[in-house]
Amino acid sequence: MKKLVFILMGLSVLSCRDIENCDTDDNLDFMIVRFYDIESGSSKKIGFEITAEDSPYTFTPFEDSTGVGLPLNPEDQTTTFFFDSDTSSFELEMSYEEVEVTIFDPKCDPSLTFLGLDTVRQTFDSTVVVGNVTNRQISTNVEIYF
Amino acid sequence: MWRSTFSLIFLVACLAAVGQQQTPLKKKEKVDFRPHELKVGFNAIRSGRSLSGSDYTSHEIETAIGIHLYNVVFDYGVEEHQRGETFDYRNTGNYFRAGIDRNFTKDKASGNVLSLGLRYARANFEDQMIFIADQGFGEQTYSLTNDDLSARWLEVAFGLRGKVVSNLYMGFTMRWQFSRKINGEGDLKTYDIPGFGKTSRQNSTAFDYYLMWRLPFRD
Repeated sequence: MKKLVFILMGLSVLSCRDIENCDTDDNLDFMIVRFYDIESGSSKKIGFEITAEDSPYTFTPFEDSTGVGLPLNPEDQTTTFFFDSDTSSFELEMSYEEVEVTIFDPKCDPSLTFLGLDTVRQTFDSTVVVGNVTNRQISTNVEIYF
Repeated sequence: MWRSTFSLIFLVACLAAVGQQQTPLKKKEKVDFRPHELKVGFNAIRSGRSLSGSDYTSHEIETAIGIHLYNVVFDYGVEEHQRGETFDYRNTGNYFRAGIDRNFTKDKASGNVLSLGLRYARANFEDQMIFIADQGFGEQTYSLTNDDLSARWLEVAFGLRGKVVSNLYMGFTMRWQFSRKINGEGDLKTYDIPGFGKTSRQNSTAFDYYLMWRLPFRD
């Protein structure tokens, strides 16, 4: 009986020890957009200057220039993005049904997750929402063809 | 051969019948279901933690009524939690647990308890979170609140209470908490449930230590 009590007490103490690493949080507070050629369907390098409505920033594409991470405004239900180059300019307006705020660990920053992503308006040839939740496990949220 | 076998079976059956007639029927003791004791106490771990830290306050009382081999247990607690380094998260509420324990000690007059039981638990609480962040739209202050949260869960409780002096008893309860459900969450996902712990676990374990005063109704 004494042994059982000690084992149970040990398990109880161990179960209380949570060691969290902020980098292992799968929640993501931006969407991932990737660009494709409308003719061949292959990845397409871009040279756009990308901005968003109500944002003071310009967003830089990934190293391979075929995708970009774009923030969504948690204070609004939609966010509009502008893609400008010397020869062309496009717009993309995204909506989201819900913004979840979670605490992964009290030592980490709050986590924001956007759910129910959808396209409201766009001026590219075609867009497809392939992942409607922002999450590290999802490599692409929106595919843009032009 | 058949005749001898039949005779043997008949003999065994007759002996069994005679044996049954000769065994006197044991008189069943009448079970007394009147309460024989009341224990009232508090959770020393929760109150101790409240005194040692400023970001956590919790107090819990427990009452247990002894009836025959069982204890009818009721816990009520209040809890206030503050968390976060880059944000301010506050969670305030109360909870109760109600259930029945089976006491496995042989001498119920001693007041000692070695028990295993089931609990239904429920918490009513609210939480709020304030943080300043730049989500790509300039630095802004975000404030989220859940005003009317409730949660329920079930527990398997293993308990031990021993007499210290006079009518003062001490002991622990180990819990396995499961079947948890939260109602009333908005955009902010709650991090704590009073009486349960972190919501990151669907099932949880807990260890509580109690100091209790026994009021025997009769010995």
